[in-house]
Amino acid sequence: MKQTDIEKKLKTAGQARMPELVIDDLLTKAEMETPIKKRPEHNVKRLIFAISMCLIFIVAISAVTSQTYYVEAETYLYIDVNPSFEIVVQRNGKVKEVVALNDDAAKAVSDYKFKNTTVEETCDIIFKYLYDNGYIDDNAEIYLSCAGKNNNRANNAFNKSKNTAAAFLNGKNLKANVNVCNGISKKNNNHISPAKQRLIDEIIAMDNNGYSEKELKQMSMKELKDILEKDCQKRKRQ
Amino acid sequence: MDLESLMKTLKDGDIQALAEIYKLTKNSVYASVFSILRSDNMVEDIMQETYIKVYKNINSYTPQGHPKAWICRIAKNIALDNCRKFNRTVPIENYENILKSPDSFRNDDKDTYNDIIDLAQKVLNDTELQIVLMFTVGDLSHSEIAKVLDKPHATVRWIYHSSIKKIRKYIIDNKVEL
Repeated sequence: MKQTDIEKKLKTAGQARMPELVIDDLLTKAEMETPIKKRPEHNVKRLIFAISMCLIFIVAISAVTSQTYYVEAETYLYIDVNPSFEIVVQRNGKVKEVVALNDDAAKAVSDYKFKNTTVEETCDIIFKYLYDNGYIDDNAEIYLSCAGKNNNRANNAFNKSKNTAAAFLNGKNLKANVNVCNGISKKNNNHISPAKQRLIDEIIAMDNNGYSEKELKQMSMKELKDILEKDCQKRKRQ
Repeated sequence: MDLESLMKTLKDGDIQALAEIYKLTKNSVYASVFSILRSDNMVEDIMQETYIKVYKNINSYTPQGHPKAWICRIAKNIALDNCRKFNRTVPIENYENILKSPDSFRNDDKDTYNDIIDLAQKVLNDTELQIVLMFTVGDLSHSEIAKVLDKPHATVRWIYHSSIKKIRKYIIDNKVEL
């Protein structure tokens, strides 16, 4: 017996056994039933995927936001010796960068990476550079000033810079004069320290000073101080 | 009119389409039901229940090119439910266990065979019998059987051919006259 014969015999046997349904009876019974309305399909996988993506998005956004919040530049510390430096401090108290405010300072800044160091470490590096290169001696005038958005955090960073300056000078036994510009100023965008700005404002307030603001901004702290001293002496004579 | 169009017509509310669907699928439904029950008892009732259920659930049918497989799956599930009803005292893991229970509808201890289906019941196991009957009696393709039984297409083909060889060998070895 061949395979095809077996298949044929199976088919014939099946058809012989198969009961025939009474179609009218079937239709009558079916008519008594009502087709079930299809439920709206909720694609669970899609829903889970969408929710997970939303959660990942929220977590990513909050992570980025918190990250940018803490690393946002908030406090600006200024060291004016000529060279002059602007230390940019993040909200988390770490240094973001040190900006050179003149050419001499640019040389100092180029050799170091200040990002994420503490205010004390940065100030220490700057003072060491100034001392090693002969900018600080017993007769030096150091101006420290600060600008920032948040007074508490700015004061905190400013105090650290003042303490570091005092500790450095004591360590080297130097009698340099440290001028602290009190109060927290608002940050200006012309790369001029609050201490220098204060001197410029005083000179401009003088009668017949003969200098334009642009000229004054280009002068060093020593030159500005000299102009003010000359004016003082003039007044005394008068 | 092909089966897919008839399913659509039924979905649209024309109950007369059910009669046409019955004519086109009765072989497949019979093969699906019989291969599980292994007896002609209740086959008619289950077939009728199958078509009523097809009408009842027509809205959940989505055209995917295998309407016959969908109907046979319904038939298979009803047949399995019936087996469970009559074997409630037997713990049910799957229908193969049910069919192997002493109270099942099997009659594979026969020495004489009314026809080749009787012989196939004796020689083949449950899956083999299902595949052979669905293909020969039910006119289902291997891929449709694979859909109904949730088995890979290649496995279904392989089981089918080995089952036919088994029947042939049994007939030759035992010199069975049919």
